[in-house]
Amino acid sequence: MTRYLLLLAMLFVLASCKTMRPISNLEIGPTASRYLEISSLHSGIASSNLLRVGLSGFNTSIQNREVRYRFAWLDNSHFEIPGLSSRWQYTTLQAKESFSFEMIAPTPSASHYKVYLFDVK
Amino acid sequence: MQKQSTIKFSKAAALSLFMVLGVGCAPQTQLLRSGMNDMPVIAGLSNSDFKQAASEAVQSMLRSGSVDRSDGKKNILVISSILNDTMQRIDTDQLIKKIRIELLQSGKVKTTTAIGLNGSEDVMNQKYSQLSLSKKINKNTLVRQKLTAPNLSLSGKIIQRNNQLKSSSQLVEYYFQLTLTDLSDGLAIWEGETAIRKVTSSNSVSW
Repeated sequence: MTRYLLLLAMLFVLASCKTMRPISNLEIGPTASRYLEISSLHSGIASSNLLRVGLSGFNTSIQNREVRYRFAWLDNSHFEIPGLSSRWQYTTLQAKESFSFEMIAPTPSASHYKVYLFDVK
Repeated sequence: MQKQSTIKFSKAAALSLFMVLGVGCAPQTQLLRSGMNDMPVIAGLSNSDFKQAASEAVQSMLRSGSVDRSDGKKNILVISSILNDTMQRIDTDQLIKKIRIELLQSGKVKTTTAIGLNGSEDVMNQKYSQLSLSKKINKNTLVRQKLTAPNLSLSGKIIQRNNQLKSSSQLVEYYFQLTLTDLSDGLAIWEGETAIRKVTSSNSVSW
């Protein structure tokens, strides 16, 4: 009986280890989330083997909004890969207009990504 | 006597106070860390501007497919003339080195340091061939050199234009123009231009 309980406990532990918490690909700041509507976050391949990511949305605010955003590129082990394409960028979103950003990963080893979008203030 | 010593003491106190205020009001040296949100913006070209221009150029090259090859080999790039047509004394390597790093990281382009407009960028490429003449060198450890010729060339120009807006402000525009040439036929396979605009006081100088 003890052996079976032990086996069951081991199975539970292994199952929890195998199940990785899914990583959300988009993080929007609390201020930005009040006026931004994200219509799509999509990915593809550029230059035959580089990850390419695009983000589209709409500024629902009646004012122009200054935001900062960055694309973080992750390898298979979810370590971030540095590069110019992952630095913070600043832009102004026009009032009541749609917007889109896109970026190509710096290296073929980038297999995952995460996009950060915050209000400048 | 007492009056003279009082005057002397007053002068010393005033001088001390002046020095303390002078040191306290002097701008403190501050380390600017990469990624800080409030990096100072200057009228001239800064590291941020070179990063912006380099990033846009590389992204455009990758998006266009101009550095793709179907034979699995990497392109070999040589840096040609990058003209500085601004009023500033800048080292164009501030732009080019960033582009080279990104292209190398992409796995599609390598840059030759053995061939250049003014000879080798790395003179060790030439010095190495002379090692075989030295009796001190173990000949078994020498690697036979076979330098690779470039097939792509990167050239360009950085332009500055100043325009008066109002009596108190001016518009300073920088244009980073770059061209990627296929050396096999001398044709441009990619061209790009990044514009960076700054509005600054008419009194500020961008050089």
